[in-house]
Amino acid sequence: MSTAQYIVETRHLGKKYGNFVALHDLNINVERGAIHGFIGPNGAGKTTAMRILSTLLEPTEGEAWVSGYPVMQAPHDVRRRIGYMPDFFGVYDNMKVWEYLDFFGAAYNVPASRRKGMVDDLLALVDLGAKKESFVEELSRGMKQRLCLARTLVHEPDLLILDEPASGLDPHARIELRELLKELRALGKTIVVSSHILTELAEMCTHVAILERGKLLVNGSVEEIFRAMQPAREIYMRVLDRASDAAEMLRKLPDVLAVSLLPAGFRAGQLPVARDVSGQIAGPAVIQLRVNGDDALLSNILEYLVRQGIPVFGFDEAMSDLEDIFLRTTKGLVQ
Amino acid sequence: MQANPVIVKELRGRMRGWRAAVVLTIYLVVLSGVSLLIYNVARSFGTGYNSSVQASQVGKILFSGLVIFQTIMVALLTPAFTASSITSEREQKTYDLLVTTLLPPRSIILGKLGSALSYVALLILAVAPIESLAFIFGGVSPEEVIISQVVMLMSALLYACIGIFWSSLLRSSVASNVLTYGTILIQMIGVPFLYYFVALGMGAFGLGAGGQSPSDTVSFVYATGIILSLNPLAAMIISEVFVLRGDPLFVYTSTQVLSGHDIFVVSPWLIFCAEALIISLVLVLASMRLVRPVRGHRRVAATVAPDAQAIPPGSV
Repeated sequence: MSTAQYIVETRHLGKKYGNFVALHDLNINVERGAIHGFIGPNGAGKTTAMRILSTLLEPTEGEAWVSGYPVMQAPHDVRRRIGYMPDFFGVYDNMKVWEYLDFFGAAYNVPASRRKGMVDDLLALVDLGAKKESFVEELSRGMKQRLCLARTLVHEPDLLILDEPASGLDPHARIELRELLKELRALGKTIVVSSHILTELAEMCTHVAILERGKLLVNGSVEEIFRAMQPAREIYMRVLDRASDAAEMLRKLPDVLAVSLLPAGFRAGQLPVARDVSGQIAGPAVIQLRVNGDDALLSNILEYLVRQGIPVFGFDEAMSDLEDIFLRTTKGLVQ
Repeated sequence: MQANPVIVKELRGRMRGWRAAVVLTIYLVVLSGVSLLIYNVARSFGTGYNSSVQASQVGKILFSGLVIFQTIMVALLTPAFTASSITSEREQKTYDLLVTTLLPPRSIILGKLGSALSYVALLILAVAPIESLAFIFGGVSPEEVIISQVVMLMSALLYACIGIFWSSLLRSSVASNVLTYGTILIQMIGVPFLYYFVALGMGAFGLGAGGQSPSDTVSFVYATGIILSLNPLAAMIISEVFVLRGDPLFVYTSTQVLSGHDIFVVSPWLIFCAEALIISLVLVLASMRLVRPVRGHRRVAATVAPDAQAIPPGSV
């Protein structure tokens, strides 16, 4: 097994179909043990990137490596190390669940003596032990998806490449799948997973790559991205009166980057961002602050305003999530 | 060494349940009915003849009729097992799963071919007892039986390979089936027509059997021999004519094929087998290339990962 820090590396990876650019200049590193989410709308290039990494598609430019092996020059070595699950489930007619796994085990050169135990273990892992003798086409969609996931594990790969694994699943099956992926990560697998639905990935990903129209917009660990996208903290303060005075005071403070006056009913996270209503306004209002500082500084600001007689009755920090970042990153590109 | 997983999977699917047994039973029932029909027709031909001549004639007609019928059945049935073999993987969305395993394209193609041919071989050999009825009447030599079985098996190989080639090349099973049966139709009907037109054309230009240049006439005999032998029925019938004339079964020199010239003759059934083998090999190799997604060609530059220090030596 390669000990490379990055299990996947791509440099200037691109794929063109005639004049159509499916993927352009993709530079990405996937750390071992990570759950790296590829997020983007349909047609963003997620599947193209995954198919190149899975040795199913030849890139028109750039290079990609899996576990240190170049996908173009050593596809066989790459296949040995990846478990690929496409965005659909392939069913063979007339095949039982255990035969399905046994066949793929044999196709990955797992010796016959080990295959029986392997099939039982994998079916137990994906909670399909009771369906061992059922025909594959009789399984529900969620069960098929879990069986397909078990199939990716028959040769004990280091990396799982899962294209839209949760698509078409009901909420219950989706939660089961998410828990299963977490379990696989705990078993030491690296997982590259794609979705066009952000909430599917938001909870479980350690790293995220946001793609759109074949281009990588953002990539990195979830924490890094939060930091990069949020250099300043965003505070929403509610006052009963004297909003203009408060805004003036705040603008004079050194660590306050920006101050806006917003209508009284405005709530954090509301989109599109409400217009500043600066000017002499009376009565309740919301003041939006962008502050570069820690919690102590926020406490000092609040104390200062109260001391100055500003009737503050609300002081909240807006917490961004992946959804915000996604919307902010893809702003202007998403139709 | 383990068995080819594709053969195991395909045979498991094909032989499961009643389907395979029912197909085999229907096939045998149809062939038994056909033999009965041929027997009755042959007997009616023989009325009024000396009884021993009649028996051997009945045997020959029965055997020939069965072989011709079975060759047509092989041409109709074999493609059904291979013309959808790769396209069905694409249509069932299992193709990507299959080609990203460690199975080399060779195993995928030979596995599909092996499973289809083993079932067709079963159909061909299961008919042997019916064909051996001809021995009761006489008039058929064991060599003729063996040659007919070999030609039929080679036809099955050729048809299976034609099916697998189109299936590897095309995306849909419908298109693959149409082109496979189209190709076989050209071979079964188009080849005799081609022979007819070539003979007509060469005759018109004075190159035929009555032409002036002996080299032209010999090459004409060889050319038509090679073309006609592409058709298994034509190859078997001409071989049978040669055998009845007292010629050997394999290769020999003869003055009878082209009067006045002592030329080297290869029995048409052997030419067919050679042609079927060569065409099958070419089609199988082409199919193997077609099912390979990323070919693993080695480029000189840029084969080392940026994180190169961590790659095991000699692994790239």
